[in-house]
Amino acid sequence: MQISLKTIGFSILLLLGLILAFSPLDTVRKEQIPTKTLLEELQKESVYVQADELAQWIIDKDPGIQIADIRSEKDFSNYHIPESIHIPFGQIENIEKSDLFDETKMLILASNGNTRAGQAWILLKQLGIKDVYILAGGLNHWVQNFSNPEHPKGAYTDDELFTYQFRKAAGTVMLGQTLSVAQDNKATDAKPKPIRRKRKKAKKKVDEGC
Amino acid sequence: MGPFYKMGFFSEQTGFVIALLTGAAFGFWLERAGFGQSRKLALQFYFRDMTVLKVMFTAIITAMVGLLYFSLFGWIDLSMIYINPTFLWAQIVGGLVLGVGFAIGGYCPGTSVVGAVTGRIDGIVFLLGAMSGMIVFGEFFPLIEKLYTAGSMGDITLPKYFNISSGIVAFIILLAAVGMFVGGEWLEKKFGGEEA
Repeated sequence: MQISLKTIGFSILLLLGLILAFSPLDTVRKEQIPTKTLLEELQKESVYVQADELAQWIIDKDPGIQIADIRSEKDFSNYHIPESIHIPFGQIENIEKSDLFDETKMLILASNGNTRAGQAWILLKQLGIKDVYILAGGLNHWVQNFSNPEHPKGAYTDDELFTYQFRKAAGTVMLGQTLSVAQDNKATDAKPKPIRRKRKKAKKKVDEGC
Repeated sequence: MGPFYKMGFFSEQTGFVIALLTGAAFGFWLERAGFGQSRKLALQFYFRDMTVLKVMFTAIITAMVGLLYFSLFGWIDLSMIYINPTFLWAQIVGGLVLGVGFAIGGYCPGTSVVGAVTGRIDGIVFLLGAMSGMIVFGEFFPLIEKLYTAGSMGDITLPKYFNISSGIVAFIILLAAVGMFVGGEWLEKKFGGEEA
């Protein structure tokens, strides 16, 4: 009997598949990224989420994000970003076991500044969690950004003015009730600017298709 | 080792150049495979010529087997590869719309560009239609926004969803592919032959 080329091809294919099926693929996969590479990556802007950007997602109720507050229990109960979950820095390595954590969502780390969040970021990356970002400037910057936004000075562009107005309007929501009381009067006047829909963080990847 | 881009081997600008070259090569091979002719593409839907199915599945399993073996040898870190998030319902509806358009127009978006640049009038018309469709989609977006994110499942993959090893999933897909090759040729034999 003659064996056709097609049969040989199919057999090789299935053999390759069989090897894959019994190979330890999933254990090989979690390779540690060297700390040096991560430290270099931490310098890049792409790792950080800007406060305004995050505020916009919260307003849009973007289902694809989750914010992890890694400060102390006291700080968290004092004030925290709306919708954020509390995972103290000390327990960050157990995040995967936490019920609150959803690995399919983009995780944004919020600390007081950048340092702690940066350390947590490296730790999580080495644990193999890939969709992790840092809130630029942390809660300190966040509060400053929304409690007392600086009016653009001199010749300003429309964009700068919009940013200012957005911060002013978003402030009430972003800072919660505790801090908004003082500026209640102003804030009710300030009409929130129409929300410009923004797709979830453009991942700089083009969709593929045939 | 991750994908070159993620490892920072080249900047975003260089990435665009590489994307352009890859895209041109992709278009070239589509044309060489005969995918610049709507006739050939449309025959697919009458089970007369299953080339599209065979080419696409060949591409899928080549990439799959290649990546998985690279990962097995430790040459590539699969966790660094971008996974398109799944919006189940949105993608089912989108897939049906694309399929109907494919059957009516005889092109899918990529091949319509190939058809258009090789001077085929139907390709050019299809491309114009696709572009006006994009405008309509953009204008009516608020109406269909709910659908756009319906069935959001995040960056889910089959092994993760069914909680089985990726090797087994790969094997099942290979079996399915072989089945489809054989089935496709059987269909070709049954319905095949160009008709007037």
